[in-house]
Amino acid sequence: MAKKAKSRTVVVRLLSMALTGFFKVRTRPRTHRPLSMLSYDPIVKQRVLFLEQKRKKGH
Amino acid sequence: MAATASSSYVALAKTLPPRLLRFFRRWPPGTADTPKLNPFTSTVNPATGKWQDPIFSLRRQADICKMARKFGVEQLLPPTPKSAMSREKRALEVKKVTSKKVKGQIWERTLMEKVNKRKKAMLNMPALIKEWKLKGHGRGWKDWPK
Repeated sequence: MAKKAKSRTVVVRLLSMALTGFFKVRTRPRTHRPLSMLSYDPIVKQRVLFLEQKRKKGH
Repeated sequence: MAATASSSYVALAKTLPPRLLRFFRRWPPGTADTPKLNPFTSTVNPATGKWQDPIFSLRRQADICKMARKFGVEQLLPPTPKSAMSREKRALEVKKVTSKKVKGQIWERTLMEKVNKRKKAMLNMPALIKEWKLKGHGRGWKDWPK
């Protein structure tokens, strides 16, 4: 049976670099570079850097 | 001996406020050695077998104790949980329990470690943001978190 085609977009998780465990979920095109943004972390109550988490293989 | 004791009581009584005097007139020191006569404890009526409430509520016991402590005659009151002695005894018992090492829940045990890690990360945050901006807002970024 043919393998299921991969979708054009992927859902990614952006982790707070304040190491609070707070994260955001965004979708991006599969071929796009990893996402990163400055955003608010409610645990440290400040704008911090969010970086995309490395995706597991097979996803 | 008894005469000297009673005369010292008389001298003492002259220094006491009327409320304490009335109390000691009704329950002179030593009467409460018989538990039945203790106005601070509930007693059982031997005829009916029914329990009778203490004559003094805990609040009023505390009042009397406080007043007696002020005039230095707390020792002469009947035994009560509100006396300084029994309060100290209870405090010691509580201390015995609270001084034991408490294991705590897992989040309580790991909390400080987590907070310190966060604090350290936040100290480094301005430098990290600067680096991120210099690298074209993530264009040249290599070190992505796992």
